[in-house]
Amino acid sequence: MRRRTFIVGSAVAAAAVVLPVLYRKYQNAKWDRPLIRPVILSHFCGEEMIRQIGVSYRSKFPAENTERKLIDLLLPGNGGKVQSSSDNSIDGNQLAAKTQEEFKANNILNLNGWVLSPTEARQCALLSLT
Amino acid sequence: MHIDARTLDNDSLIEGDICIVGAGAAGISIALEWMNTPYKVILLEGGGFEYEDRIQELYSGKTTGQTYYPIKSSELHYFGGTTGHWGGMCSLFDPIAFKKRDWVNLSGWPITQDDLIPFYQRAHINMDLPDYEYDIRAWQKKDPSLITLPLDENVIWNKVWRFSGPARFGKKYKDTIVNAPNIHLHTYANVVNIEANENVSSVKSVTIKNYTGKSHKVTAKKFIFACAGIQNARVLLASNKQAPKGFGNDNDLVGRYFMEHLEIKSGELWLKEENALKLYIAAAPRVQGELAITAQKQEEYKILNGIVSFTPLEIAKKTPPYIQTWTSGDPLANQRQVDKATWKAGGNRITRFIDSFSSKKDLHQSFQMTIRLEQEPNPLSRVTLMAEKDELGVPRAALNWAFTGLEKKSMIKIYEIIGQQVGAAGIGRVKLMEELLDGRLDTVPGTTSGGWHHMGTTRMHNDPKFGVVNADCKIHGIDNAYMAGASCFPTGAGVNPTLTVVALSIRLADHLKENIKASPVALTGH
Repeated sequence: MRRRTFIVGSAVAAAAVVLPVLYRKYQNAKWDRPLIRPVILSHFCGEEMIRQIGVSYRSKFPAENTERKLIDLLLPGNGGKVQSSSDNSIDGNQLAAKTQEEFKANNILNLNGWVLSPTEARQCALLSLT
Repeated sequence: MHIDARTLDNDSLIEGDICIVGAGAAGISIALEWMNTPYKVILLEGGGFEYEDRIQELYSGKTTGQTYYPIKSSELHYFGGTTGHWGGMCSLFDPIAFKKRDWVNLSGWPITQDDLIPFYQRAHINMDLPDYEYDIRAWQKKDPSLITLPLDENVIWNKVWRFSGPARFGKKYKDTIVNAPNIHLHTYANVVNIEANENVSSVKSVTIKNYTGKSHKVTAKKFIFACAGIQNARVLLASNKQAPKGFGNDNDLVGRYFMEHLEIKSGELWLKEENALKLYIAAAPRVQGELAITAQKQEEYKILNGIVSFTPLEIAKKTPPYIQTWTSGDPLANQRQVDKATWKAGGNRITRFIDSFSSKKDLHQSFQMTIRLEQEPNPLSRVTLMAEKDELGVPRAALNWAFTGLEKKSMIKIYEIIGQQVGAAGIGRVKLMEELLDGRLDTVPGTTSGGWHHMGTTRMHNDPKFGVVNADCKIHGIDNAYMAGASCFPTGAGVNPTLTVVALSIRLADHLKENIKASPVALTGH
């Protein structure tokens, strides 16, 4: 009986330590994915704020309110190769460059007060769907 | 020469060639120009040489419309006027400020920036401003560390600010004025009425009073009213015995078109990498840069002129807006309140001491952006008279501060332009205050403050239907009365008015000299 209690207790203790670490690691890994991490914005905005921006974007543009649609708009000409926001094969620098080009072309929008480009706003929207 | 009007026999007659009503930045600047001339100049000041609450009380009034500071404490009523508490920030009105802009109601001055440049240069001397240099490149040559943000110069340019001491005209010029043989400074001489000739085409005299109960008359060939924006309108409106609508007010313009600068902490700049923004923050008080929108872009977007300054966000968040701290009728108490709030925002003594050793103490990632925006001339934004009178029997002033909606539209667009430029440069992002984005143009954020800049109430226009004074600041229809100060401004640009007030006053002084030389009227001499 004492042995069984010891084993169960140890397992619970181990889980209490390991699970949050794994969860955190998993979350971070997800947050690090280039498709859902607007490069400049993430220098000073936390994940939660970026999610909120994303929610606002989806509310403003309901026609883009699916992962598939957002990915197609973020990666035009992708031909369906990238199927989900968890795909790590994307080059984040390309999205950052596209973002900057949109600013240069005065292609901007305002979400929650932030002056943003459509590309980074879509990245926020995609994050908010995960 | 100094005369305390309280010591004169009751009903004295004071005679001069020129009578200047008000001894603030405008009045003193004009008097200085007339020193050592053969003319006798009467300079009238309602207060004494120091602040007195009973004198200041004469300025009490009421405000309606957009929340404003108590009128009593928004202009100072003693020798030196509001320079007694000004901040010393000086910059030029841009060329576009003087131009007719189709998208801004009643914009356009009858003079240009070029007309004022020589007087700006002379004003520098009066105001203890060291050198006349407003070109950012010249400053960068002297100090290469004054780096501008990498934004497109066709869209955003760097407006240069210079800082006067700040010159307190009361202290700085007291001895000069008092010792000038031809300047007859009368203190405790509050103008309570303007008397005109029979057909109200010329000023014959003004009546002055003080708390002793004595009353005197001042006669002169020329009269200049330099009592600041609210009181200039008040003295004209209150002189309504011969002109029922008020003196110089045949076209119902006196007091209308009151303008301030809207000063609002309303945007944030977030940078990818920490920066001191030395040119924009730490270089002051030698020089300071602020972001301004080019004339071309103002025209393209049909917006008002506004300028944006930076403060580290963590400090700005702890500093309440002026409209929440400048709430008392006592200007000295207000100043203490503002100073205390500013000091507290900078941290306590221990954190300041520790920070002083940090090599990164000036580096920040986020900055508050504060806009200083001109107001569109609006006839409903105005100074009128109350039924209640002050202790000397003059109706008190009532101020209704109101906007047209172009102000808020312009603020939003200015931040969007800066946000677009910051994004294009790849250095960070801009965030607007969400209160600006409520979809309503008829409201402004509750934290909207003013700069204590009272402009437009005797606006300048060559057509009397649109202006109280002409390009020479002479009241339309009156052959010998002039207005001086920011009340003459048709529009307010995006910068503090004092330098332009002094420049315009020197220009008026020159005009009067020419005018008097040409005048066949015999002068009194001194």
